[in-house]
Amino acid sequence: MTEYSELHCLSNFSFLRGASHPEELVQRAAALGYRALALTDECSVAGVVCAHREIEEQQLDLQLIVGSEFRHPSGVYVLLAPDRQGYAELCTLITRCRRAATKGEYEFEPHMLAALTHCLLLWQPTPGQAAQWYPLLQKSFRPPESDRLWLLAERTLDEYDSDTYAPMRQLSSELSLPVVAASHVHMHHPDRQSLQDCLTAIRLNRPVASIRDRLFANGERHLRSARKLQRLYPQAWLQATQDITQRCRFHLSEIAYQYPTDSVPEGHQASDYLRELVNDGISKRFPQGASDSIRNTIEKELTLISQKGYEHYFITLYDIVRFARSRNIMCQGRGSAANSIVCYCLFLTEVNPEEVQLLFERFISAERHEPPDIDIDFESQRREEVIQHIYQRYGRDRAALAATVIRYRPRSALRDVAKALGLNSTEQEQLVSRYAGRYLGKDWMDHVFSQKPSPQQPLLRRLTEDILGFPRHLSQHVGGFVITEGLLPSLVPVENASMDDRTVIQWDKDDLETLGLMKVDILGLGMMTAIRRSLNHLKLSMSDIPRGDAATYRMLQKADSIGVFQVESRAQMNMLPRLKPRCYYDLVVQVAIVRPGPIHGDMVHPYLKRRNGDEAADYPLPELKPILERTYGVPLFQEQVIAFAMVAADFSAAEADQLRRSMASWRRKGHMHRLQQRLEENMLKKGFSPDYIQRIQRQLEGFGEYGFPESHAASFAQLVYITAWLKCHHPGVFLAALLNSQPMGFYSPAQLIHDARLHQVCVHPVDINHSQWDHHCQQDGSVRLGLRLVKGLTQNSAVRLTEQRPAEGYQSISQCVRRAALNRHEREALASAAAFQGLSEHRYHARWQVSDPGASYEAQTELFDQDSPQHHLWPLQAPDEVDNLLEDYASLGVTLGRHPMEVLREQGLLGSSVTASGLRQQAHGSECYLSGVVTCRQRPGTASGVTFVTLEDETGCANVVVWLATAKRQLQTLMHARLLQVYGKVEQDPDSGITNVIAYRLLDLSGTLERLQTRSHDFH
Amino acid sequence: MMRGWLYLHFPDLYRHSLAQDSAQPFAVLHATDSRVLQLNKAAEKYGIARDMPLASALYLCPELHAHTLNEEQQRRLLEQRALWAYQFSAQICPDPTEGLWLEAGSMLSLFGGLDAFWERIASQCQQQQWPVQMATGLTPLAARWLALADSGRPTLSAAALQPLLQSLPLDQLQLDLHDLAALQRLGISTLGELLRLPLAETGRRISVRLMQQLRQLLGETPLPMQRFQPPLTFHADVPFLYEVEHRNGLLFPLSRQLDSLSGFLCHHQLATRWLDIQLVHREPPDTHWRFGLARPEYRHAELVQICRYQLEKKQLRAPVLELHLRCQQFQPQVQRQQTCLSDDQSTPDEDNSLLNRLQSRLGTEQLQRISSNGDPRPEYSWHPLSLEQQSAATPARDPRGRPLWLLQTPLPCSPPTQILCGPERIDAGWWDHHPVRRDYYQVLAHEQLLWIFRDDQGQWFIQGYFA
Repeated sequence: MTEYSELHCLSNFSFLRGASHPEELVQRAAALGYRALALTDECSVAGVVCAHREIEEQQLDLQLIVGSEFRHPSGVYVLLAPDRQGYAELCTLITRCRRAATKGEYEFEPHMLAALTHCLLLWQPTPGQAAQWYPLLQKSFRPPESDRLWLLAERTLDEYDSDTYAPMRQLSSELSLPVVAASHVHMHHPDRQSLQDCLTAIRLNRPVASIRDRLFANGERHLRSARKLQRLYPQAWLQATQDITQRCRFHLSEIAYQYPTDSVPEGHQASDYLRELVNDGISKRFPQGASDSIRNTIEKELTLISQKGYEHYFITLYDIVRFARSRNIMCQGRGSAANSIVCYCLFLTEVNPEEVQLLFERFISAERHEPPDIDIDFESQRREEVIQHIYQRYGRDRAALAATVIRYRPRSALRDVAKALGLNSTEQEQLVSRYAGRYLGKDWMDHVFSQKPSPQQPLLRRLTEDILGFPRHLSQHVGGFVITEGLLPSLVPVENASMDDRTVIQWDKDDLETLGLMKVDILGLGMMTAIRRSLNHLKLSMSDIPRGDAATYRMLQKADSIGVFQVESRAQMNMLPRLKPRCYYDLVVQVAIVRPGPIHGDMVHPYLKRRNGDEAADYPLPELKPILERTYGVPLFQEQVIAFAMVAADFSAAEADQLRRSMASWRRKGHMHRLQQRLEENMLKKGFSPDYIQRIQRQLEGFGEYGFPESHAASFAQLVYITAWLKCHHPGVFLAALLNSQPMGFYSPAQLIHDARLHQVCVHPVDINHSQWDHHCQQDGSVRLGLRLVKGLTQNSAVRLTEQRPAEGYQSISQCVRRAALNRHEREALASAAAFQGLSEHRYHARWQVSDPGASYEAQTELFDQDSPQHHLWPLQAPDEVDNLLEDYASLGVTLGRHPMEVLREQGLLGSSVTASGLRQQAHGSECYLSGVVTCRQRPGTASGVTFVTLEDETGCANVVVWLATAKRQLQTLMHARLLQVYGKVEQDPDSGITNVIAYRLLDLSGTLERLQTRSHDFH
Repeated sequence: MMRGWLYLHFPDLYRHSLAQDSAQPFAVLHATDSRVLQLNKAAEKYGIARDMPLASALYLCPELHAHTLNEEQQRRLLEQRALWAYQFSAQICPDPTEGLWLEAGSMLSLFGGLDAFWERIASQCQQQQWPVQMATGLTPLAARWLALADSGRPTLSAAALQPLLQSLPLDQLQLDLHDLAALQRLGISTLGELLRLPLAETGRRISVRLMQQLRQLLGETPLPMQRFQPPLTFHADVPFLYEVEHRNGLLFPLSRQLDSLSGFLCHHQLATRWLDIQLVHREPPDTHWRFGLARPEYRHAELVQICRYQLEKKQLRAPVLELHLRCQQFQPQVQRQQTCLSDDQSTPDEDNSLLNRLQSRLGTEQLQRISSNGDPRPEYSWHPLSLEQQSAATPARDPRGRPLWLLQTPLPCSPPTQILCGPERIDAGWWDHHPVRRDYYQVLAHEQLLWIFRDDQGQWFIQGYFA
């Protein structure tokens, strides 16, 4: 019996057509004994790397052929890539078709095929069109030396056979073309037919029952058994699949990656140039001279880099960072790259090897066959400049963003499947609402489908399960760039992204990693903007900031950290008084410890105990001492856990790293990787207790998704210290910088301002005669709020206003409006924001005055001049305190008046509620009322259904803990209240001084201060 | 004569008209965007509020019963209230969607004063269990606004009404949201505060629309209102000199009534599909017949013919003293298109006649149409429709290889010997739980071309015959 290869196959990367994952297709093809499978998604190769990866990982005996399908009124065109050049042709063609159309579409014309000299073409002409198009194809695909054209015959036992199968024999003899058999595969198994029908329904946005004429009449478009194929097709047509298979020799691993060589100057060798740069860096970074051990490590690194041929990678990055620094754009590398001293010398990272122990193997190792992966944080407001520089330098033909695959998640899956099965919009909402936003875990499907069983439910459920994880479309990744030496379109197709002027490749970051292509992440970090602004104002550089400042550490120990990078969240603020950081390395630990890895692995409490001296450090094995010494014997960082695996379980460096990488997919795949099995066995043999092993494994699990390498924590800890120092010593400057860098961080401008005022920073309101566009810290340390806070005022108008402002200030509203040429909307915005303070009686008056559309800025109207007699006619009541408060929030988002809680308390509307600061005086175990504005709601995944709520009042913030039972009982109050009153029990922790209230009852007070517009940070 | 208006505001009119269990949380949804328009107390307890999107409402209350508002139904509800209100005033102006204006000034003497007038209406509403908010005003808009804010009092004295109007909170008057927001930003929250400002200035700064409303409130400009017209009815009554004992005896007087009806219909350019006939006998009860037509008709001859057919199926239970013909449901006449190029042998009128007659003869259920729907399964690919139903059919599939004659139920047969064509595999129907998995073949047997299939169990059946 002849072997068979399926040459026309769509995966679910042919969005809403294919009903199987590439992985499922290759598994099934291999199980059926196919020789090869050609993945031919529609104008796309987005799925081929997934297929390739599955074949490699599972070691399947199946050849993967890369191809693509193109649909045209004249017929179906399936192109296959037999070799590297053919592959390049295919990618170029796909790029051309995609770039010519809007996102998600493509434009294909058969004459585009004329440029292809290597690809193989399987052609299925529409009846009656063959004669017209054959001459064109004959010229391109049947030159004397190589015949590359076949007729594509597909027998699907339905009405289409009369077009796709019956005419082929005749056509073959007319045109003397060979025929090849295929199955137009849309799924790996006929069971998927119902899902495939659903996808059609979703694509047409109609229920299945109303588009029955558009469904396939049977499920024959699957990978069929060899025996069946023998019965369906003539032998010769089956044999043709093998003729084609043998001509296809292209393998994805051939995409040898070459890093761009642009940045190496003429006449230099890459490795020499790199060494030059590093030496230059050494003298800058180690002005006292570098120690021997550092020099040795640098040598080791450079040798390894040279061995692996990674020089250009580093040089390219060096160029990007150099550009940024030349423009005074703040940047810093993160992740495992911070383990490299070479990176430190090249100014790619900021972690000083003299302060933190670095593990270069974590970054690059001899055994691993993949290029390094460096992510760089740039200050968010200027990241775009860096991106444009890359486009300019390398051109759109050589630089593009990686894709992100948007997949079906529970909510979208439920909704689309429900719609396809004919549920009306109300029923759809009812279904989705059983899932959305609830306290549901992995078994959410049981919960959603348990109520009111209907005959449709089993169908709904099965289809939803199947469709979860299916790709829906490609979107652009935030900052993941791929940069190539050769032309991109010959390496991977490029398509249009939805943003103007942006292009995206068809592969995502995982695909790039699998194939070893150069990817660099250009990330944006808001805090860097704030830091740079602060340093600019103080005329300092990063290195001018004194290290080891005691006052700064004292501040952090009290959890006084609102606005400080990384340690301002509720969870971090709870840890600071426990950890009591005293030095830089403590901050490195602080950053890494409040994360799922250590929490899951139960490493946090042991660490704290040992650090506080309540327990002695112990090392399960003496060889572990050097690794674990700095964290008192408790493994906290990724590198430690890896070194642990190497020492305690005899893993090699490569295996240990593979273990680390399998951690991420551990949870997703739901089964243990064989390495994890080995870890357990080996550690048991060495005498570790099962309990300890479990903790290590849980920690590994936690690391998988949110792992912090020590180097990464170290880079971040730099920023923690700097921002803490700024907050401690220059709170006004820091506040202005934070406000000018919004949106960013954990807290809203209102919360930042409130906190600064509690720290005696004087804040002045927005005023047309004193404010700039930006918030501004004055000589005396006070902060004048900027015009940018006024909702509805554009920067252009604000700049005009400040530029036109006379030295003695505006003397009247009309003068201001005239000079600054403000339109009505902006005038009203300023009036409501009380920016005309001093020039009118009150803001209602000001607003009434400027609302007159007849008063244009050109006319010299006296309509609302201060002295005009008519002005006294307006009978408008002045706003009271609450009115002012509400107007402040509505126009600025911020109030400088009394805190709303103070007002309510004075009016007796809060009952016997204690204040946030007064809470600390309550006895442990006592019960009380507490009221405040909800500024944060958090339901962290690690904490079994508990919700943490932060309430703010005029004295500060207080923490409330709501257990699951209470939450369920009062769900709507908990989720929606803006002002909340809590009755509960006080818990005091004597060591750390942290106070919490465990809520028994919740009361929504939002109505008491109507229309209060505050923004709460809600995390679920 | 006194000037004055009474406004009746029926809050949540639609919701109250639906019979529901008040313990169940219930909401009425907007027709297009599914947000909550009206809700009951049980729903409010869950924190659901007006204008909330359905998704949020369901989140708060998964057992919420939701009903989408039917605008036609709502219009009819208001119309019924208007008809009811006719007993109280000659001039009714409906205010879509939830209110009615009654011209009160001229009615007061009839009812013995404003208090009595008010009391009558209020108690009637209570009897009907209709929640209502009533108010009087010197202008229609004043009455309406007072009613919306539930600040109405039975008075038409300017002195009494002024303070009521002044204290009206603006956010209850259903003002345009932009206008309301603009007023809030100026600290203006009551009607009194708003009226202190010069109208023209207000119009310039807030909106012309608001200024117009204020002018209407003050009576400076009239509020555009639609006067209610009760719906059209036709009735013709004939008492008989002698009792009519046989149904044929009804035909002649009925024909005369139908003549009047036909004239009425022509005059109004209408047609009808329903004739209500009431026969009065010596002893009650009366006989009520309703003759329905498949297609709207207005011509005398056709109407007579229909009635003749329908009468043939009826029996008189007793001799008839009076014959009443009523007609209350009308449709516009379909315009006849006369084109000289039309080569249609029949006109729409003739088609309608045929259908009407067939239906009268055979009965409504016997008259059906066939519609195809593109289902891959042969027995589900067509279905009958009554004449009423619109065919929402999907296009049919390619009919290649299908016979014209299909069997109602497939006939078992023996495996074929001469297969001409096939297999065609049909594997569909998972969506309505009638899955079909069969392989179809065209075969020759006994000199006949058959369409047969083999099912999942390997059994063979005949599905149809080729002509």
